[in-house]
Amino acid sequence: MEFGFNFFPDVSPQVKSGQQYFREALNLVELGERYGYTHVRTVEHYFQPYGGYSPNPAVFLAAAAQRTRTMRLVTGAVLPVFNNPLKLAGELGMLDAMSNGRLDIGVARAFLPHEFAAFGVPMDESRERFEEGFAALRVLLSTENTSFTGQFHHCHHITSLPRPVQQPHPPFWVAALATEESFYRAGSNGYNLMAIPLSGAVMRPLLQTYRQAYRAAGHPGQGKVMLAFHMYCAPTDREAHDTTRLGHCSIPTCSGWSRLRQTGTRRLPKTTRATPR
Amino acid sequence: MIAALKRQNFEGLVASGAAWVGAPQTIKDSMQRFIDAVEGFDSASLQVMNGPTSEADAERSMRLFAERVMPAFR
Repeated sequence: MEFGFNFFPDVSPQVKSGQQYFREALNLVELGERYGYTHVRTVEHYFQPYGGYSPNPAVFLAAAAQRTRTMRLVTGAVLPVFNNPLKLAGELGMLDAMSNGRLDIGVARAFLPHEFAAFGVPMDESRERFEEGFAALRVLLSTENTSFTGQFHHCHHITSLPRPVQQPHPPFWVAALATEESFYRAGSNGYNLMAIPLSGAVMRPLLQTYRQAYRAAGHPGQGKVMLAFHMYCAPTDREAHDTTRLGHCSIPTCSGWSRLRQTGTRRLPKTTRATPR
Repeated sequence: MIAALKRQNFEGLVASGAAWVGAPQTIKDSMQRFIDAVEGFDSASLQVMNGPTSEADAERSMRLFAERVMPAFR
């Protein structure tokens, strides 16, 4: 089993500036490699404290690549729905080149309504846009002089540059949501799996579904599973719990979301009023 | 997805093994329960610096985990 860092920025400008957050995160990354952590991962989100400091994971990971020598760099995850696949493939090719082939590409469908609203993308196109964007990304990274025509994007005899160091392409990970179908699809398509840990009783059958689908489709091995955990370790339980409970250390999966809802509902009318007529 | 996230809270995450908080031995026990419950997995991404966590606290926690917890699972 291997361990790495997840930098899911759960911060607002009132808590930490971007300047401070990334300086600290990069210091930890550099030190963490010496302590045996083997990957660094970050998310793609927008506009809110829930992950919003990382609209492009490749930017942070490119900096992390220059502070480390062996750590894998993991997008956890990029969101094809909000990206032009031609741009995304090129950026990820750069990152793979700049890190000497240490990139792992996690992709996800996106689920936050405020992001779809801001980009003007209907949420009911989420599945189609994800499938098409991910398919385009795969073909652009693995094939030269490629053409495709989709519902949202197309290209004609394009070679994405730079070509990835890892051939035919960097490893792909698919973020599964809470549905059994998403675990099944990740497995049957032969991708590695990223997920948020649910309770063991819920998680166990979902991972079984993934592994069975992976094997049944004849892919080599059993597929890899990456889970993201909140972690805070202190010399005593009391110290660890005091530090986390008192809000010195919150959890993005719950507190960040509740803050998002609070600020989201309050800010929207203000922004509307501030718009020049 | 959103509903699932909203149902989570601090105590629930710790109790289910989805958040690893405590002294090294507590975390080891919690991890082992979770690993057994899901029949193992390959890679854990640890969120070591949340919200206003200071860099010094995050660094101390990360070092302690690496020295006292990680070796038991390698």
